[in-house]
Amino acid sequence: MDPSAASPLTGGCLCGSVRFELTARPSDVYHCHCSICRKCQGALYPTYAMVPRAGFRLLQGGEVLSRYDSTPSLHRRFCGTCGAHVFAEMDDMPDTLSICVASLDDGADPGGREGRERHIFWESRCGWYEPNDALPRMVEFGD
Amino acid sequence: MSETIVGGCQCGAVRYRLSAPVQRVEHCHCSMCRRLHGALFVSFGIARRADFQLEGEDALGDYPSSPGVHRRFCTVCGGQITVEVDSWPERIVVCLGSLDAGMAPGHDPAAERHAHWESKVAWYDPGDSLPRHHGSGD
Repeated sequence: MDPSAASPLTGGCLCGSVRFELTARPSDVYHCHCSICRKCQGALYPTYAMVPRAGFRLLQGGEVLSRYDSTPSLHRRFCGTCGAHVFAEMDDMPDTLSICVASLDDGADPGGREGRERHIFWESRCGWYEPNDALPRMVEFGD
Repeated sequence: MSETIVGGCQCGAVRYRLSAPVQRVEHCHCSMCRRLHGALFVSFGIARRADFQLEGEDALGDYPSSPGVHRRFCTVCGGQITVEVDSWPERIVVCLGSLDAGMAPGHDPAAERHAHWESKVAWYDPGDSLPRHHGSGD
């Protein structure tokens, strides 16, 4: 079931300092193979969901959220205590956030995946491991 | 022939080199790794500590995800670099997403598997043909 105001999803970092609530259905769910996501998070392909900023509420931990600008307009927010990446903000999309889906509690499905889940920046994937799922593989972000 | 494997975080504050291939690779699906890395599974290379050299220690944070298990990450960009396990002083666990582009862990393909498969999220399966172990599989 997609998240909504009546049935929000919750999530947070590993140490519990940062907690958030999601009340909106993501518009996109993507597994990113770019080299910047890999290095920022130390995983082969971090998974993000794009959500309306109005559907995201930080419940606690704003004071421990660190910020790293991987480009001048892309701000990655991670917990300064445990290092968990929680979401990213983009200057050119002020009404949208990219949340780290893996920070949702209990491995929750973020919803909104039907026809909108994909691999992105597939050409930048690491050269030694490749998933073999049936999802579309986009050269860049895709529409 | 021994080829050096290099890596580091995105901002460059932390750099490392491995003078030998990793001994094995585990793709971990446990809930702690997933949350910490913001990924549905996390790929680790287990290497000999004697083969591992690090620069930028001052920038590394240390989060104990369990007693004696140290998650070391760059405090500037949040890049997860290694896991150090107190009971495993001769080994280092390297977060393989931090390898430089074009680098490979160099392991024997037979020494690669999924770990903690039972903890995987229900809604995504990477679909590869690697062995799928419960727990750490030892």
